[in-house]
Amino acid sequence: MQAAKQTLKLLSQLKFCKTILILILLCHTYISKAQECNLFIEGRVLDETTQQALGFVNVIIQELNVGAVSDENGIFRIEDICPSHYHIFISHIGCSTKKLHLDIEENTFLEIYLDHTPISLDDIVIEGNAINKSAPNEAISKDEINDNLDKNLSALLENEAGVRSLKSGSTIGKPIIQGLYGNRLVIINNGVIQSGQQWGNDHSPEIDANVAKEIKVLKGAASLEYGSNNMGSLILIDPKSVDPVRHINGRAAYQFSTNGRGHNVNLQLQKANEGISWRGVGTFKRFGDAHTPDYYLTNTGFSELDGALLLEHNWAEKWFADVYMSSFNTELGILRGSHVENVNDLQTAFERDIPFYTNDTFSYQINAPRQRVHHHLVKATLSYFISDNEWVEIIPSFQQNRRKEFDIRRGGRSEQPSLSLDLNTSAIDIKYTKELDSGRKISTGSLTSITNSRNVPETDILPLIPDYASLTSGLFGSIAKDWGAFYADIGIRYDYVFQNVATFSNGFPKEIIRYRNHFHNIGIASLSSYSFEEDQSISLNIGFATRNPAINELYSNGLHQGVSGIEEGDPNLQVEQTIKSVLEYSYNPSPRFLLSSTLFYQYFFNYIYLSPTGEVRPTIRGAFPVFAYHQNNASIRGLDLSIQYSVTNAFIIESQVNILEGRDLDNDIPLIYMPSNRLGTKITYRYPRPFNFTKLNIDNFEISWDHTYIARQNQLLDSQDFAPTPEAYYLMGVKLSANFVFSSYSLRSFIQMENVLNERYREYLNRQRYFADELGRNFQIGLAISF
Amino acid sequence: MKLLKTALLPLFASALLVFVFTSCDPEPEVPNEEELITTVEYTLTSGAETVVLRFEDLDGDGPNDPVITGGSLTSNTSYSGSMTLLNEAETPAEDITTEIEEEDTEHQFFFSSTVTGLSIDYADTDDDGNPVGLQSTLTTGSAGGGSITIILRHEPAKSADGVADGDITNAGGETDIEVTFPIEVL
Repeated sequence: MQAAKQTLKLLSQLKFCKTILILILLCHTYISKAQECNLFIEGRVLDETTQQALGFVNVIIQELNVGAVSDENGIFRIEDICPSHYHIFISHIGCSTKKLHLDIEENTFLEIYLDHTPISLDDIVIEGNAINKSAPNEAISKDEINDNLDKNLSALLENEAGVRSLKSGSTIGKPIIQGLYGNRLVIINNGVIQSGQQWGNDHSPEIDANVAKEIKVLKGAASLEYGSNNMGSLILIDPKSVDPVRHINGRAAYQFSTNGRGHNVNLQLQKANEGISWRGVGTFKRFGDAHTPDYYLTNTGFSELDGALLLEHNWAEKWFADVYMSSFNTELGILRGSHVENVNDLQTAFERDIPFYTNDTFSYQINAPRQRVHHHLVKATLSYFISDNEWVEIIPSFQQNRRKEFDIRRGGRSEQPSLSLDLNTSAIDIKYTKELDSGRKISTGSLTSITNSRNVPETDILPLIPDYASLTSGLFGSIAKDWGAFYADIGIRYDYVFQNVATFSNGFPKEIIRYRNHFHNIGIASLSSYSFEEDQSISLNIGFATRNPAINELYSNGLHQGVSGIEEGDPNLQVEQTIKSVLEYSYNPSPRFLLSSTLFYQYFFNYIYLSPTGEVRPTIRGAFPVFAYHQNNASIRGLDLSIQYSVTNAFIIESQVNILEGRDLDNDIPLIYMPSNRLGTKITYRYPRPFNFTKLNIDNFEISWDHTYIARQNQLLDSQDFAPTPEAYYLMGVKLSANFVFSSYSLRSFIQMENVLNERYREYLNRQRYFADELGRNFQIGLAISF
Repeated sequence: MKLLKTALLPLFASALLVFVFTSCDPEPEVPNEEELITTVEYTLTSGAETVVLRFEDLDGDGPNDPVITGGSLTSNTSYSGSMTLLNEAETPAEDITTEIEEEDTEHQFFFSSTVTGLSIDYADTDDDGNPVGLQSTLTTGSAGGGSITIILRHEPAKSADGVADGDITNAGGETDIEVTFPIEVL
């Protein structure tokens, strides 16, 4: 009975968390009730992926302030323990600290599996099972998320190989993965496809990264479960289940950044119960004007207030349910001097050293131009376990996205939004999974979603994006088989997309023109991987996908504020098709050395992109270049290479190289907004075990020194941009962090400096590059109490 | 069998949603673009002579070309110039000039000319004593041809170097109007 329950719990957690599996085996060989404080905890730590013993893992009993370090066989032992409730921390280089809550009444043996490789052969979330070995994925751990409270989702992901940000100033950023972003990149927030205004290059994903316990980048085409328009990469934001700790526990954190004088507060509370387990997360951020090495970036402050609540219930051993609600609210200032109208204004702004409207003083004030964004999500998951290896999940969800953008307007209208969009999305997702014998597994499901997008008639401006309603309905199925060293899976997905659009005619007077579009999207993906000679593995991922043109690509019409261009959609665009192949190789001859390389090539038929038409349209506000959506065959190819080497147990060197090239093959010219090449190195010194310093118990003492070199985007032709692309630059950062472990809580603290050299630079992928430099030096301190 | 049932349920749910959904149409409202400026009229008078330079673009950023009416001026003459801004997309046409008058400290016209000897000077001031340009004086020199360009900036830095004298270089601000008229001086 007990065993069955455990399996069930594991199964239900598979989908949400699979990084740690803990088996608690009670030894009955000793006296069952200890009279004295002479109990011991013994255990063994293994790598979840390789099953190898892990040495130098710190195991600390928080209440007693004692601990042990695992030996080369992964064995540790802590003696002289009184019977009581204890919190046990398990930490190791390259993985986040795990926390256990145990009732110790007898001598206890723990078997602990750690997912220790930073680039892990982790199972992808669709199948969520140990037999699945999908393409190597990057994961961002809880610690990393926690230490970067101030960063938006995109900036947080930038640390990962092959991920960059398309930015508008320092506060707005959208992730680019292997050259894909916006409409081509799917973001999954707790199992639900994020439905925001992804089309806009100046729209950040509307998600508070702090709700996540883990953020994963899934590369490769194996992510069919997550709907159409997924062209080969996706981001998973995973809040995970409530930790199995039966009293209120959590974390309170505060961070301060000197640049922007930013305050960040984050509070997380959770409690596991027999009935309903819960977790609540709240985040507050307030930043003022950021500062380049030389001047303030006037009106670049922002504020953010987010909250999330997770409720979980598990009953009758067959049912598992959760309800998740989150609310994201932000107000973002846009650099005042970047608000320009026609091409002449842009040229004038570009020639200035310091942007127009730069104030000499700091301010928290946010004036027009600014954005105010709200995103609310409610979702539920209901899982039914037909048996231990067969289950069904039903996931209904509702999202509401409200975006208002305020420009500098005449006649006191700056308080009246010039863009006001309401986007509501309802979806229902049904999945069935069955594990068969002999390592085979099938999964199938359907996703239906309805989206309604409306321009709120309060702007008195012709909308850039028309009102529309759309429906997506799809089915997928996949099968996987594991032969041990060899693994293969294949999946197929079909989606029907219906768009019902009401646009305005181009001329005068305005009339309503209706379009009803029907699209069919198909996705096929397969993965095969092979492990050989115990320390090497190779995998090949091949996928085919189609993406229907998005509403903005079909019908956007008008002046795109801040880009100094008139954008025109093309109602006759065809479905975009792509074939992507990803070849991964990893070599892990010892726990001290890891090499991982990813080579990818993606070919697009009818790649949809915005490009200048050559027309310069005279208007009453001067001349504007006209941009239109075109379709051409294109390719994106690149290499991501990362090496990790532990010189000693304490001294680690990590290096990353990212190379990418995108080309319009029909015109033989480069694609715009492609990341330039990057080289990054991080040197970390980490004291390998806990130590005492003037009565303080210190753990995870770490100093890191990172270097990033970003090459110039020199592929671009001069005619493809308003101004030459920015020069290459080099950034350096340092960070000192440590955990202070006390009897009933632990204190995480760090001090960090970004852009140590106060380098003046501009980044090609930041639209603000025409007007101003990037941020100068920034000091940060962070404190967090875990209890 | 169980598998079949599981597969049928989502199909049924999807079919139902499709049915419900296809009956709903978005109903957008045509916005009332009260901020739009469609027409600029620069009226030049000297005694009995009146010349109206006119720029009209009813579809805003749309593809239809604007209608531009230039003018012929008499050499060595001083005209008093008056600016009128209209939104003719509305019926009756809305006079935007009053909006500029009310916010005169936040607006300034800038004039430039390629016609030899032709100059335009401000003939009005805002509440702070800085020029606006709704009223101006245009003086012609000898006969010749070329064009004049009129720019209206919103929130320019009026106190910046040279701006009060009509030099746009340091003005900044958003361009609300930028129009060019062909001019002949006879």
